[in-house]
Order: sequence, then C-alpha cells, then structure tokens
Amino acid sequence: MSMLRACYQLALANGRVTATDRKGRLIICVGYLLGMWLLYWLWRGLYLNDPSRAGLDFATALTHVATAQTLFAIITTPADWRLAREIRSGEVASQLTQPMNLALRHGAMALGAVAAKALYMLPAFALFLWWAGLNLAPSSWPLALASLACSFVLLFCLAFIVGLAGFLATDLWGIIASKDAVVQFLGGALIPLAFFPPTAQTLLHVLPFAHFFNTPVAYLTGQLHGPESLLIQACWALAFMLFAHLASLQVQRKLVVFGA
Amino acid sequence: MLIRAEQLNRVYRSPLSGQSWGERFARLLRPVWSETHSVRDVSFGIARGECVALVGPNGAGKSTTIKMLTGILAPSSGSVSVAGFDPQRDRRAYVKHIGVVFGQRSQLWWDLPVQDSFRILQALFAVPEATYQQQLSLFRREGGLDEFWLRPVRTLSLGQRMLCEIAASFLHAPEVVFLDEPTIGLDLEMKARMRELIRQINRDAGTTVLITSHDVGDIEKLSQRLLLIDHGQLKFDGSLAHFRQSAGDGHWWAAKLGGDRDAAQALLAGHPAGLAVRHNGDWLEVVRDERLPLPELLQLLAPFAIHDIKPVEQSLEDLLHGFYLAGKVGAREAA
Repeated sequence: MSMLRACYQLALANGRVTATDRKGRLIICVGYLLGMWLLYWLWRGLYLNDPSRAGLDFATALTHVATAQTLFAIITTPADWRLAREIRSGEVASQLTQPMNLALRHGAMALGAVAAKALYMLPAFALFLWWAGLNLAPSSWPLALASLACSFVLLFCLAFIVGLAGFLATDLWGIIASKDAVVQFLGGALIPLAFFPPTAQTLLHVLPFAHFFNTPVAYLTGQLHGPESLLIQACWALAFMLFAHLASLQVQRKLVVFGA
Repeated sequence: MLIRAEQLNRVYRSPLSGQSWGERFARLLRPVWSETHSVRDVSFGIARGECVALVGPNGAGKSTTIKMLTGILAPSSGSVSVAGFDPQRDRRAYVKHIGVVFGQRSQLWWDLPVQDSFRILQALFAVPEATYQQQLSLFRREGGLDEFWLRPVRTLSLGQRMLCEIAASFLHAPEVVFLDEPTIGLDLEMKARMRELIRQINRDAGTTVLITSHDVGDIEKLSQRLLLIDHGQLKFDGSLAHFRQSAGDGHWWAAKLGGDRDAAQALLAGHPAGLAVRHNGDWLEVVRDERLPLPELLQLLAPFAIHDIKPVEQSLEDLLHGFYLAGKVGAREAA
C-alpha cells in the first residue's frame, strides 16, 4: 500500500512537472497540429490516383497513422534520456539510498508524464480528427484501453533498458534515435503494417514490434475485435518487464560491485 | 556498536589500453586491468548516538567508505554492519534506517515546491504523519524552513537547498545519518545554522551522525571523535583532544622578552625538566609541561623583562594540514 502511495506521489510529481510549462505545452500542441496537417496532405497525395492501397482506403490509413503518431507523442516518455543522465551525473547513487526499485520509480514517473501529455494533447488530436472528418470507432473500449496500457509498458521497458546503456556509453543520442526509428517504422506508426509484405506482417505480429503501436491503433480504429492480439501483446509486455528487471539488477550489480 | 566496519577493502579495476593497434585489439578479447586500492584494511566501530567526523585529503577514500556504509558500493573484502543490516545485501530494507546527504547531489525535485519533495520522500519512506510533522518542526523552528516551503527548489539559494537536503535526510527519523560534505559552499551564517541543527538532533534525538568534511569548523563544532583516513588507510581513530595531543608539535609557552633572549634560552634549557626551548621570531618558546608550571616559568624569566607571555598551540587546521603533508611525503618516499 505504501509503495502504491509512493508511486502515486512520483507519478503526480512528474505529471505536474510535465504539465506546468504552459509555453512548452502550447508549442508542442501547435507543432503537433502542424505535423498532422502535413500528414493529411501527404496521405491525400498518396491516395490521389488510387482510392485503395494495401486494402486500406484513405480515411482508414490516415486515421491509423494519425492515431499512431499521436500515441507516439503521448506514450513515448523520455525515461531513456532521464535514466542515462542520472547515471552519468551519479544521481542514481542518491536514488539507491531510497527504498524503491529503480524500474518502478521510473515507471511511475513515466506514467505521470504520459497522463499529463494525454491531458493536453488529446484535445489537439480531437481537433484534428474533427477537421479531417475522421473518427475513432473501437469495437471494444476495454480491449483498446488494455492494449494501450500494454503498449505503454512495452515502450517504457524498452526506454528503460536503453537508458541503462548510460553505463556503457557516454552519448546515447544515436542509440535512442535508432530505437525510436525502429519502433516507429516496424511498429506501424509511420505507415500501417498492412503496407508490408504478408510474411513481414506475420513476423512483426509474432515479434513485439507490431504491438508498440499497430495493435493498440487497430483496437482503437475498430480494425481488431478479438482478444488474440492483446494476449500476444500482454505476453510481450510481461517478457519486457522481466527483461527490464533483470537488466536493472545487472546494472545495479555493476554499480555496487564494480563501482561503475 | 551501531556501525561496525571490519577490514574494509575497496579495489577499483580499470582496463589498461594497449600501446599498439595489435595490443589494443588483443586487449579487447583479453583485457588487462590496473587496480587501485581506494580503501585498505579499514576497521572501526561507532556507537549509537556518536557524532564522528571522517576526514582526510581529497582522494583519501572517505566517499568510498561512505558509499560502502550506505550500501551503494560493495566492499572488495571485509564486512560492514550498520544497525544490524548488511548495507549492500539488505539495501532496500536498510535504507529506511539511514539518512544520506551527498553534498553535490540532490534528492529534491528541482521544479516543484519544497513541500512536494518532502511529501514524495514521506511516501517513499512511509513516514507516519505525526513523525513527519515532528521531524520537520525543528527545521521549521530553527532553520526557517517555512520561509521557502512553497517555493520551487530551483529558486532556492545554495544554503536554503542544503538546509532542505539535511531536513530531508532526517525526515524518516533514521538511526544514523551520513553527511558527505554537507556545508560545502555555504556562507558562515548558514554553516553555523546547519551545524547547530545537526548538533541538536544528534544530542536530543540520539541520532548517530557520520560526517565527512574539509571544513575544520564542522569537525570541531560537531564531532567528538575523529576518523582520519589517508591513502585509503585509517591513520587515526580517537577523540579530538587526543588528536590535538598526539599530532603536530604540541603545546608551548611563548614569551616576548626585553632582555637577552639567548641567556634566557640557556637558562630554560638547563632546567632539570629538560624541556625543549626554541626561538620563533620575536618569541622564545618552551614546551608546556607540568614539570615547569607557569609561576615558576615567570619567576625564571623575570630577570629578562617579560613584555608578554601566551600559550601557543597549533590550530586543528594546522594539525590536519601537517598530517596530510606528512602523508604525502611518506607516500613519495615509499614510491
């Protein structure tokens, strides 16, 4: 119970830090809407001479990409940057003198940041959907929300593991940029996975990639109905949590035993 | 003993780079390590309620020792026990019993008001509301915490921030608090305020304090006992008074005379006690010893027209400086 209260306090604190920068919020929302507007014209151009591509019409494809990009903006947290910075500065040592698991601490903080970003970005997303004449039609909100939660876990764990690389490398820019590119491209945030060859699609669904964005977006847009994809996603989320925990233990062992 | 360290050793290993490309490649597969002994065979015990200063020059091994005591660094060999815990093995349970301030790090939230950082720490350490209020009351009353309680941490002065850091380390009523350079960069007034607060908590609540500092004032005002570490080895463990007696060149009487100083020196040198006598600028100095009490000394020097007489002893800063210097010379000679 006390751990839950501590997580709540951390989430609340980081949420407030994320949300208090009014000018920053405004700039992010304006930049986001500009990006969405460009995305609209890009996809409109792609569909100019062909009403259907990869089995998707213009509205379905655009809804997918816009939703996935919005999820990327909201759910992706800078846990990797934060952790790497704390490792480099030695701040992580102070955190080890507090009675909380490192991954849980960062997870709670990431959740707070996601909630804060959702509060000010979802209205912008709704505005874009209204302007573009699109709408979300999930066949099941519980499945869609569960899938979103799993997506958050997957992305956070990946960011946490990448952040731990701060023990090995001084500059993580390249690693984090590569991670974001792979996650967006193979996760279906840049283009729907329906545009990939069938074999690649199957592979990406079995592997964790599709479950970063494609699965939650498919639930949100009503392309997926049954719980099968969610179950695979949940299994990957558990595997990622386990892997993040083991990586955290290994890194802490390195810190404590070798002095990093 | 609340804290017990037995034969603590800490060795840091770092890979050696090869001279040629071939050697560098070979060392990727089979690294060659250099070893640095940061702490070597350090043993000591600290009783509940003591306030002990861990001092030594830069790179002596103080922070490494503190890290081993706080559980964030494992000893290469030897053992540590604090409040019945093995700090490294039982870290999560152990840290609830200790408070830590690393002078160059912060446990506060930069962008949030001070009170929010404290609420987060209260939740993290599961501090009951009554204990929370009680622990804060001293810092509110004596430290003026309320003046900046609602201000974001980033707007605080260094002194105010350090006051918050120290208050935060005592928030969960720990059995022992480790303070690593808690007064670094503070002005005189703030240092005095900080020392008084630490002293009060140590005295009234019986909280054990282990402090590392380069500030002699911290050591003199706060601690009853000194652990002096140099080149990773414990060179002195005892009271401040004992250190003053055993280090440096002792206690002297210094007299300024109007008469012949050489004759006075010869007279004192011929005293049956056989005490050392020396010139120091305009002063004639003789070792303070009960075999030559002050009235007898005054009587002996009376024919030489005493203008002034005063006791002389080295300050703690001079004594420590001499100690560190001797360590450097010793290390150079050993090399």
